[in-house]
Amino acid sequence: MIFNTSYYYLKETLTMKLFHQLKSIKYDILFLQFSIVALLVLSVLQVFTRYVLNAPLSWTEEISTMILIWMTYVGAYTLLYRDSHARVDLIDDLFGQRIARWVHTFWDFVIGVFLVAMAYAGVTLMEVIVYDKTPALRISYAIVLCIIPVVAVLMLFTIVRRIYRTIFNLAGGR
Amino acid sequence: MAFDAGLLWLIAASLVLIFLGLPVAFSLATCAFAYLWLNGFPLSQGALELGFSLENFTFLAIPLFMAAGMTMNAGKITDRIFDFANVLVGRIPGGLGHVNVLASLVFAGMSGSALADVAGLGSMEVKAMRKKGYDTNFSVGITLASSAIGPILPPSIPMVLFGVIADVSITGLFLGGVVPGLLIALCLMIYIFVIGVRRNYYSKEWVGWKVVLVAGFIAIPALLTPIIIVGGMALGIFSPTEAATVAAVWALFLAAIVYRDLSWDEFKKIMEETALSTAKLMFIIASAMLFGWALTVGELPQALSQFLVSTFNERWSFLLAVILVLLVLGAIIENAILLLILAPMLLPIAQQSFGMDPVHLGVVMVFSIMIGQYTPPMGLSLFVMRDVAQLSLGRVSIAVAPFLIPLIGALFIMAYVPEIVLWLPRLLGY
Repeated sequence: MIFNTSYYYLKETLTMKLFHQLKSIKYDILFLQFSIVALLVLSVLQVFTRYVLNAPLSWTEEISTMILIWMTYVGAYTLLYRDSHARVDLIDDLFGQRIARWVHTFWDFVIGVFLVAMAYAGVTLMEVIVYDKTPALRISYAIVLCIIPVVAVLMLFTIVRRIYRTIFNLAGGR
Repeated sequence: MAFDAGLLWLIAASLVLIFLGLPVAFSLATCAFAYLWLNGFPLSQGALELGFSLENFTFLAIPLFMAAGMTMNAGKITDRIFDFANVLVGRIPGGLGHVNVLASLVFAGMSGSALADVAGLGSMEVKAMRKKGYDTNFSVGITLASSAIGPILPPSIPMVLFGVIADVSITGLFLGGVVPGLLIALCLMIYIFVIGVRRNYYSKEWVGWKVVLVAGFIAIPALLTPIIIVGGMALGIFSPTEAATVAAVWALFLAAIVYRDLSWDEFKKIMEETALSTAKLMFIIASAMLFGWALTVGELPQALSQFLVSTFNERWSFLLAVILVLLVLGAIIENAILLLILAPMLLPIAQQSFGMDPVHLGVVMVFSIMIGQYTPPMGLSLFVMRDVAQLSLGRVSIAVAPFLIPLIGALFIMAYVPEIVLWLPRLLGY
């Protein structure tokens, strides 16, 4: 009995450990790092097949472009939660911290509204382009561009959480 | 659809949003979406533009050139270039000022943006010049001004953008930037020489040939990079994307194997930073192209073209107007946005009505916009330098102001003597 409980306990902690470990991996960063490595490898492959083997591959360009599009939007998500998209920070210098924080929250609302539109636009776009296929690999463009609505929804979650937290803190009077 | 006056509201709204601190890419995309919605276009068209505008194989050169620049900074390749430049020209009046320009010139031949120059090489240059007792304003100013060579001397990310959006040969643009890049360096060095003599900025005594040779030998692999890239493209061996591949792989090879200054963790960090800087730029590119598309739908290019053709009747006055407007706009709008929106509008007018060569227009446009980046309020290079040198934005802007004289001088020379730009590409048949 005691043996059994401890066995289950051990098993559960291992699963939990694995779960926590998997949870702590930053998948977006991992994806970004792998995409740059993949772009490098694919470009080298292309140069190699063209100049050394004299038989350039037809699909490397298409895959690379697709990775670039995916990387851009995953990176846009990462930049959003790190709050490091390129922007003019004159407001922060001219007015105080407190006003700047309210203005930022207002912009977060605007971004949120835009993201709803972007998600909606992305989903309707899928219906339009689902039968268009890329020339070499014959992949549907819906697969290439599905990253747009997916990332829009991810960004929306981030923004809503940030707005909630900021308002909670500001209203809490701290 | 005739010219829609609502477009002026669109442009004004996006500028206000940008200045009040909404991230640049979101400002443009939000305004463009609002315009589509108000005019009854399907929003899916906007999403299509956001995705398809990036579907261009040549854009691949951007992350690769960025990877090359970041590797060279992280792998201390820039240190070797700086050391070599130091023993070579450090003795001329103006001392480290010339070293600064020469190092930027070599660095420009491997990386495609001014920001990489300021962030990597720049922090080292400012530190070295302050340590040797140079005036802070002089050090900061010359570091910023010399970084202007980056986007002119090939490779160059802004030239890639111009080439893609205006459908001009990127190899031609790259080759067109070689002589102007050297011209900018020359103008800066003359200016530094004059100041150096006046303020008595003489450097240490001659170090001897042996030291020069040793520093040169250490720097040879790094110095080869620009020669491989420019040479390969000039002879028609590489396309720009392939040149970017070669540059990135060569920089990684130098950092990891030749100089052995790159750890596994640093490598991962470089990959992450490269991806994020690329994403930052590409997201702006996508939204700027969406915005530009909205402007085209409202027939702004036609209205602008009519206005320009009826106002200016000679090439020199048209060119002067373009330069002045870009210098002003470059100070308030991000450079990628300006290029992507204005290049496709101005190129057909310049070509058909004023007989300008597309490569000439490209180099002049890119350089005018780049100079705008050194004046507040919207100068990304200024922001980077503010963080690097730990000074206020105002102080940095004042420091770089006198160096705008040689830069604008170089700009007018290359604008009104087209042969400077066109000689090399014509020689090689582009």
